Amino acid sequence: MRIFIAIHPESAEQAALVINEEYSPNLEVMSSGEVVFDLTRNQVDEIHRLVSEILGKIPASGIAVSPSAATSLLLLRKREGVSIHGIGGREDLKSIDIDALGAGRDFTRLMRDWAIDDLSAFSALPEDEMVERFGTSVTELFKRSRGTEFRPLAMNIGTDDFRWTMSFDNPITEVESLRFTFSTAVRHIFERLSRRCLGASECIVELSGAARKKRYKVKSIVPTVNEKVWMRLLSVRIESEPPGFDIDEVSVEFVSARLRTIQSNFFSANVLEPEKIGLVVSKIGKMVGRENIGIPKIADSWKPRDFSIDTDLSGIEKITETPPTISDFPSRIFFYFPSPLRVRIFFDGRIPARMVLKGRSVKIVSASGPWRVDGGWWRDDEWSRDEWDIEIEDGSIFRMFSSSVGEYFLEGGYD
Amino acid sequence: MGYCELHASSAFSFLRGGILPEDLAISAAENSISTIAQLDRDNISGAVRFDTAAKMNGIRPIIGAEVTMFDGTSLPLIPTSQKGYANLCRLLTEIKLRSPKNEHRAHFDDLERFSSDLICLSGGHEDGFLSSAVRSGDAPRYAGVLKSIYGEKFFIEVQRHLKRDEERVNKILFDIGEGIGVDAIATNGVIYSDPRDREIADAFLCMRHRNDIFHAGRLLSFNAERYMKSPRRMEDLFKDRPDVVERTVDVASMIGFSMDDVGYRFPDYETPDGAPMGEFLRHVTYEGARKRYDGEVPENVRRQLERELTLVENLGLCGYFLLVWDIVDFCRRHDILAQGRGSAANSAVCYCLGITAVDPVTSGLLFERFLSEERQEWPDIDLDLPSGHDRELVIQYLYKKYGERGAAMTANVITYRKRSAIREMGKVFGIPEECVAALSKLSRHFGSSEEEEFFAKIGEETGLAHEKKVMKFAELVSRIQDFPRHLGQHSGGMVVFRGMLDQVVPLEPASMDGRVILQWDKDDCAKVGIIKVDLLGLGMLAAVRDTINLVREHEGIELDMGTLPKDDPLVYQALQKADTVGMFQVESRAQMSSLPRTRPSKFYDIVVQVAIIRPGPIVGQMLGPYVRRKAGEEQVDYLDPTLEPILRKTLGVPLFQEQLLRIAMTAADFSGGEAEELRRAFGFKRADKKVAEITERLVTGMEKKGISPEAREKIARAVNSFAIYGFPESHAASFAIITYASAYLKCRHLSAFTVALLNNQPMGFYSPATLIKDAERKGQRFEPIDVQHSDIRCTLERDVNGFIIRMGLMYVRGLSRRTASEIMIARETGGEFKSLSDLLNRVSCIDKREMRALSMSGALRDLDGSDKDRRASLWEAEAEMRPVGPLLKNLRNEKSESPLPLMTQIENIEADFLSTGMTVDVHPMALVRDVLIRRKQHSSEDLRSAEPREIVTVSGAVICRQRPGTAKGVLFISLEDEFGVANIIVMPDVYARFRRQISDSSYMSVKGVVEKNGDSALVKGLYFERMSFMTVYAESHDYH
Repeated sequence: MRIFIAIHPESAEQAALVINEEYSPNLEVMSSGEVVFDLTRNQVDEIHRLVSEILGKIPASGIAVSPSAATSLLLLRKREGVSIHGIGGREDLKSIDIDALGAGRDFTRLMRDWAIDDLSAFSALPEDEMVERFGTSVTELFKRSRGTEFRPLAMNIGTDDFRWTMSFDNPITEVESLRFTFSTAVRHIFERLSRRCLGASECIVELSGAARKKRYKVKSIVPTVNEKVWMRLLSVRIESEPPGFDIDEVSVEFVSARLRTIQSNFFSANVLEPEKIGLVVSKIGKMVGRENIGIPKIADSWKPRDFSIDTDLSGIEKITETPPTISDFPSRIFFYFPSPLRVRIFFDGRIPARMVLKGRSVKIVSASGPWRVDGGWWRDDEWSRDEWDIEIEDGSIFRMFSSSVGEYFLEGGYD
Repeated sequence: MGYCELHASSAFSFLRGGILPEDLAISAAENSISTIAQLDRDNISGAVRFDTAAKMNGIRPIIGAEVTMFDGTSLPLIPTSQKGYANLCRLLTEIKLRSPKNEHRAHFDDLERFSSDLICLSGGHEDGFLSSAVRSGDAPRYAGVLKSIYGEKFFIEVQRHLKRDEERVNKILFDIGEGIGVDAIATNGVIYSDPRDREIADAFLCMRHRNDIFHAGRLLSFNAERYMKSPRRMEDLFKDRPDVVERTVDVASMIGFSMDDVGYRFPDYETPDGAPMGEFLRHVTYEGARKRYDGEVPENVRRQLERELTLVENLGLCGYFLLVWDIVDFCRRHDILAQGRGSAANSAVCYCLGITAVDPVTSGLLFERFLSEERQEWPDIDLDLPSGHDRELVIQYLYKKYGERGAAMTANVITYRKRSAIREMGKVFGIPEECVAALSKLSRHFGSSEEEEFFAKIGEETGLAHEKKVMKFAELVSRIQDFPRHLGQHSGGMVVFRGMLDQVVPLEPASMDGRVILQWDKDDCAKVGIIKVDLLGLGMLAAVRDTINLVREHEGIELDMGTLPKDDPLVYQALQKADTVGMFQVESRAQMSSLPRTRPSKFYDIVVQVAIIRPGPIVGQMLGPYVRRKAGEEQVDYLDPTLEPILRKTLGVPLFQEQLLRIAMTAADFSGGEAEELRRAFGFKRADKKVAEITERLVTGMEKKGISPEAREKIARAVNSFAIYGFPESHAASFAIITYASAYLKCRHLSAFTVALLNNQPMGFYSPATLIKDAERKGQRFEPIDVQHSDIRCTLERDVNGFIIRMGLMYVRGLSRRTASEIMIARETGGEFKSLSDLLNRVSCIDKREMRALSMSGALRDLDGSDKDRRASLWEAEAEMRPVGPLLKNLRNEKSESPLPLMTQIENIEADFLSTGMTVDVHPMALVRDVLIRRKQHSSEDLRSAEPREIVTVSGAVICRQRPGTAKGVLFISLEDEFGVANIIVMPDVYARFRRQISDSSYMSVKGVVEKNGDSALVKGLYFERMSFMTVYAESHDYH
């Protein structure tokens, strides 16, 4: 008889490691956090002892045992505590709601009309007559309801988890040592990745020491298996933001991704390799701060200067569309000053006539405006201001605006 | 210099404008704008409201419309004359009627066909025709085409909303105008009165684009400059081009059209042999009179007829009367019950033409309430017709007779109510769907006076009370209440104008196939002087018709609604006992609680009863005095002895509008027309000056007649009050005829009447489940739905003990009419079905879902001669419905016994409610009666013998929850059990505590104090508990 155990541990990763090392390599980690594994080689009469032992080693909110992986998972999800079905346990599938069949709304409703409210009632229906009514697909439902559904385990441990951890008796205090540790970790993990034909798109590094922890997240703009690139990215990142404490433990984890296809022929575009762009971006980020480097995006809003930075550079290759234009007219190019310049404005009636900028008085030869822009009335930061376009004697044209407290600023100039 | 605003749009530019027409006019007045044009998008639905409001505020209104062009932009058109107005209406009708709803577009050739006497503006900045063409480069060409169509009446429109791009467009437009010799004018494209109202416009825009405010981005307005600006502000904005502002005055002076004459004339009627209409009307009236009065027309009737006919002729209304007569004649010829209601019942001509059923001469009704020379409004004749097929026949008769563009239904302006506002604003502000659903559901339980409490609940329910977006959501939900949402179809108002209606008002297709609606609602039509005929569908008339047919067929008795035996004691006994479930107009909870006290004993008591349980008389405090006087608990007082003849029949309580008119005529020598003017003056809002004048005339008149000062004051006060709240006696009398008929048919022919009620659902106050249980308590027997015996509709069967009602297939939810009909046909042609497979073989259209529905309803129980369990039917049906190929057809297993558990009685009843909405099995409460007795609970029957102030517990199925606006927050609940109905009242504080139990329970137990009112008892609820033995019952009649 086969024996499958499903467990809902507090930490799926830890549990998978324990199970892998001590019970069975034949295991599957579900995306919802449960772990299912095959314990077939164990004795049936030892099952109760094993369950207690597993629960002693893996803190879990529930555990279910059954001859079928699917049933053990089903029991785990529908019952609390320990459930043993079909292996010396008294548990059956009675009182598990008919919804658990997952047979669709119509079918479930019909079953309820039939007063078939749980799996046990369903399993008692005559299967041949049910097949006559609903076709052969209904046999799978019967297997599910009787706990005999076959479901192969997709051994996914290690597929999603490319982690490497190392503890040190003597704490690391030098960057060079840390770099060496990284290179060991990267080599180790990339061996596994390359075996699966995968690259990495993101690396998460966790440094621990003396009750302190620091976490780094490094993204590549394209999935790559180029260890050198990753090493440089990691170095730049650590150098720009050193941990500031001695390190007892290093954990390196890579997020796997499918590798891109590279066209290597005459028609390849002569552009910088994405890996190199990534390195450049990383180096600039080291200088200006990670949060200040990314892809600029003009916000779809009337709010002046409203834009955002998308710090996720992984999509850099895909940016091909032109940004939306505000006006359909051909216009002069406008340059924003890095920050608005405060000016004093003297009006002739309601028309700006003279401006004083940095102590120098300049005559305004023509002005158009005010152009009023306000909005965001549903937000806490609603905006409202009047703008003018002003031309001074030397022909330069500036955009000027008034603040809510009556101050004037030059926002930029037209080319 | 001056400025006329020639381009403003109201909220009738649906989901565009953020201002009601009335507020547009007020805002114009406040901003010193003397002339303003309301140009709504593809419609003039708000035109009458705007015109009225503008005139009241001393503003000159101009009406026009923005027409949607082929590229989706808009082109403003303003008529300069009545001919131009007709062209605009025809243009809008043309583009709307030829396209699917909301997909209409105008092309240049349409503009050309209907171009004369129309001013064309080039369009505003945002989506104006020419401004948009500037961006695409087509502007010069389009401007040339418009110039060739409209000539001197085409103007370039420039707007300044302090937007940088706009000025560039303006410059190009000026250049184009100068190039082709077209002048420019300034407009502001007003869509709200105050910058703050831009929020409404932005929210509407999100709704229109099905977007939320967070992602609408640059779809939203750039700023809030489309508010109403004063001439001075406009002059300031166009300081560099004062000519474009000044020219608006010149353009406005070109416009000679006003809504005072939209070109509607009373329709003519084609008489036989071309006889003058007056002569023909006289002929058919006297012909009818002779029939009504058994050959000899009494002198007083003749005098009244002459008076009315002369007036009808003088007012040019002969065509209208003949038109209505023609409809009634059509009904008569096609055996369709038709009865006039409303003030028309005051007319002897209407009575003799067969339009109404009440003899106004013998009933002492007052013709002036219907028609008088002084009156500025045209009469309104409402016809009640059996709802459904019969009414549709009449409507199609009119379409056919007067042509697609000659007849249309009036519109019904659908406005935002709390629920719709919550739903749509919820989407705008990204409120999670479950919150919106919860709030929407919750809103039903908060009255209009609990607005603040409700909006506090919004914060609570969303968990985001202090977020600005939630505050704005709540605020805008409140601000858009009563804003028009779209045009619907009025329930029956029909306007006819032989082939030319589209010259008077634009027509558009209704959602319902084969129907055309006009863009005005009934009030607008009345204000413009358009006569309409209301063809109202009345379920009870259909039920009466069906009962008469059933009685003829099964009992061999010929009945006629007009000649039912008068004053049947059984009828009055039932009314006095409030045993009125299913009776027209007297079955509501409020009616039932008053009937045992008013104890109607003659026909006129029914007239009063129909009139008195209405918000008006209740708010006007007429109900209390009448009930006390009827019960002999209060002295009858007539205000003044001279008024006794007028007020005697209502025990001194002025209840009817006709009484008001007579009081004014008797006490102050008013003419009939003046008296009607008095009534109407009180009815109008903002008519204080007129009310003061007319009250002065009333008091002076009474003085002259020597009425004492005390009596004068009392009369003036009474007039003031009941002019607003009084009910038309003629209308009550017309309804009372149907009430009496329904009561008579129920008391004397219960089986036929119940079948008729069940076949004409939905109608009335109660669900079919309650109607069935009520009839069962009177001994009526029912048979369940059965494919072997049931027709589509419910039918009468007979055995030695009398009639049995067989429920019809129409009650099986999910069974199409086509399948039901196929089942009947198969049975009629091939006899009873021998088995399930026989049924499936003979009724090929039946599908799996329908089969399941039939099984669950129990309709397959008799298929093989045994009383088959429903689950067994389901089991068998699944096997039979499975397609089998020809090779395996004969290999099918022999029928096996169902392995499914048999349904219990409670499951059967539950399945009844779920699959048919009713049961002919026992009442669910009977299943738990033993338990309730053990718990010493009262049944509805026990309550009659309960002592006042006794603490009792009653349980039942909730069949009604009512919270009338007149009841100051008190909630009324009706609980039904197997013995009848228990009435519960819930005070506001108790309701607040038990809101959820009260709102969500199908069955509940109520603990409370007994209050007795004569024979009737009710329970003042203190504690409420949901009962869970069964979760389904018929749908409760809530908050209507």
